[in-house]
Amino acid sequence: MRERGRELTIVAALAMLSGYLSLTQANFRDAFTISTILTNAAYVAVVGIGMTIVIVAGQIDISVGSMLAVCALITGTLARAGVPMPLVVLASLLLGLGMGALNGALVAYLRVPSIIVTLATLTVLRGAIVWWTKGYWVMPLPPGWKVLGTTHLLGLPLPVWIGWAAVLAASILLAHTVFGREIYAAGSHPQAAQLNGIDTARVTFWVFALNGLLVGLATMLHVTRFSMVQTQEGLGLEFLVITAVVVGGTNIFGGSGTVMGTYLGVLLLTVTSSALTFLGISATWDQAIRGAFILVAVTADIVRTGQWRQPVGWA
Amino acid sequence: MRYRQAFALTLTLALLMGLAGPGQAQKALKIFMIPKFTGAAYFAATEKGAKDAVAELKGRGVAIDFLYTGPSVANTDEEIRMIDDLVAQKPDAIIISANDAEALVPVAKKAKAAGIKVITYDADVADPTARHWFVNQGTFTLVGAALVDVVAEQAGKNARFAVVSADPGAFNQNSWIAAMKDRVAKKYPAMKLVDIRYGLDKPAESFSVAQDLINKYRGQLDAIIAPTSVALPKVAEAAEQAGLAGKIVVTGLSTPNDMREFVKKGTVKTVVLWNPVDLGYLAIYVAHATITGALKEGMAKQSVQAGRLGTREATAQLNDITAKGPLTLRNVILLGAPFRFTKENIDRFNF
Repeated sequence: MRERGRELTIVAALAMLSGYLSLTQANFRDAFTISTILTNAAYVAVVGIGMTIVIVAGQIDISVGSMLAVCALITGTLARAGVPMPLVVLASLLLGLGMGALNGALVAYLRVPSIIVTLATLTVLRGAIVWWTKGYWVMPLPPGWKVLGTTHLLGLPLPVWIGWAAVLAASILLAHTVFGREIYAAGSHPQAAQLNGIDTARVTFWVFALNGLLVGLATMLHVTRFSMVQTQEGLGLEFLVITAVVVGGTNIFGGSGTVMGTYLGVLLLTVTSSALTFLGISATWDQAIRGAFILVAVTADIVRTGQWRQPVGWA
Repeated sequence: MRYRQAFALTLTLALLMGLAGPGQAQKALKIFMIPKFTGAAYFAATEKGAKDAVAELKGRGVAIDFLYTGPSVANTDEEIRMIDDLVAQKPDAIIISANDAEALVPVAKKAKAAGIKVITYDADVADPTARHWFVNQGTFTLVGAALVDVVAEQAGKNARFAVVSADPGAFNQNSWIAAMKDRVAKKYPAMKLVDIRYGLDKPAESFSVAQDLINKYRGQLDAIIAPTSVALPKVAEAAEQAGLAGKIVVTGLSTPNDMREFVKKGTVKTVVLWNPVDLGYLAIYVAHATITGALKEGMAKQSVQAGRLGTREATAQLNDITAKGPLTLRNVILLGAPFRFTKENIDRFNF
């Protein structure tokens, strides 16, 4: 299994990096440090699950950061208006689902390429945020706001556990359900999938809707750790998440990839980012290192699958 | 065109008042104030200060037709177009905060050539000859020094501190940091800037680099300065979640509204910025002094009487520290030392 190979590579990289940091930096092997890293990775991982599914299905969604900001600002506003937190969480999920479904409908039924559709929603949603908030942050938030994000269970904050549960559930969905197999089929060879009776338009639609739903969930795991919602939330999130997905072994051209690989990719990026501070490496390298990760991962994929022998062109 | 209507209304009222007031031989001065955009509490605060000054001058027999108008969102083209329209109405002075330093030079020059006194405030135009005076809210030198002074007062003169900034290439932030280093070198030799990290003005990144700093230097870091308003609340949040609220000094540049809760809780004892009410207030006095000729461009050693603020010096040349080395500001009136927002005074401000 090629995905297992990639997963093992990342585990080895993670182990080496964390091992080195733990040996040289006493404060890195501290339980609190590890807890903060896992918590910061949790919401990125949940967005990463959705992105993995979208990319496996042969599509892309670059609007996730804007969707997260919309969910964050609207749920913050609802909480301030006195809506009980369980309903606020539900609203975030439905809002995400709705925005994802819009992306999905445009891609699946109007046949607009997903990079164009989501580039448009990325921009339109950001613009809507500026228009609606005029740059004002949503605050102060009621005391119940931070319960989800800061309550601890067995030493770890709830977002970590929810993130793990989501990874597990999505792994099962992809590997052991009919819908999961349809996603791989639609992504690896859409024509063949169609001939085999798979409604690829329906699969595409639901893949985007599911991605939106997961962004709604990720929003709640992320923003309930803070006492205000800033309008800049989610800026550049798509780049971080797509990097993690590709590093995690998902083929950018669709058809293969695992959610576990993505989770490990997110962890690797999060630990790398913290490592820069711990090792005193100039922060200007952070972006460059992320870029290098992508290049190495994608090149490895292309060499291994022999894609470089084929004519130049997207997929 | 709401601003046109507002202007027409102002004009009508002024006309009526002029008719009704016998013995008011002097023509009212026309002063327009054009902020970057009107939809922000910050600029509304400058408007409030300006109106205070207009009312005071009126009390002293100086009639002023004052109009505050600007684009509803930050938009350079819209701002230029509005200034063009306003200049056609031949005001005595315009007070501008430039959305784009370069792009506003031609329109400012055009106004100046038409005999209008051009004052910039908050954000200057790139060419100092395009305007008469820049009412400066605080040089990099003053603001950087104020932040370091807060750390020295709250964490001691041998404090170890870190900075969580915006982007590694951000000119303003880098200039403030350069000024901080200068202050440390000149006034607090035992103080140490141990690390500078960048949150890229993204909330999540600002939060995680603040956590990384706190985790790495656990117990050996006395203060964090965030010279950017996106990062400051996230640094405060990171300190709270690490159980270090009140134990580690957190300060930086932001507005009272954005930081009110953290200041009231005590996680952040002092937020540094300038007072935009005073800034708008001073801008009117500068505009008035330029119209009357009390302030003359290019002359050394001048000052302006600015009501409740007292006297402010008008400087032909003022040296500042920036990320790209020393900079000489020309024809500047400085608002004064940066303002410190604390638990005691923060509720007097709404911006």
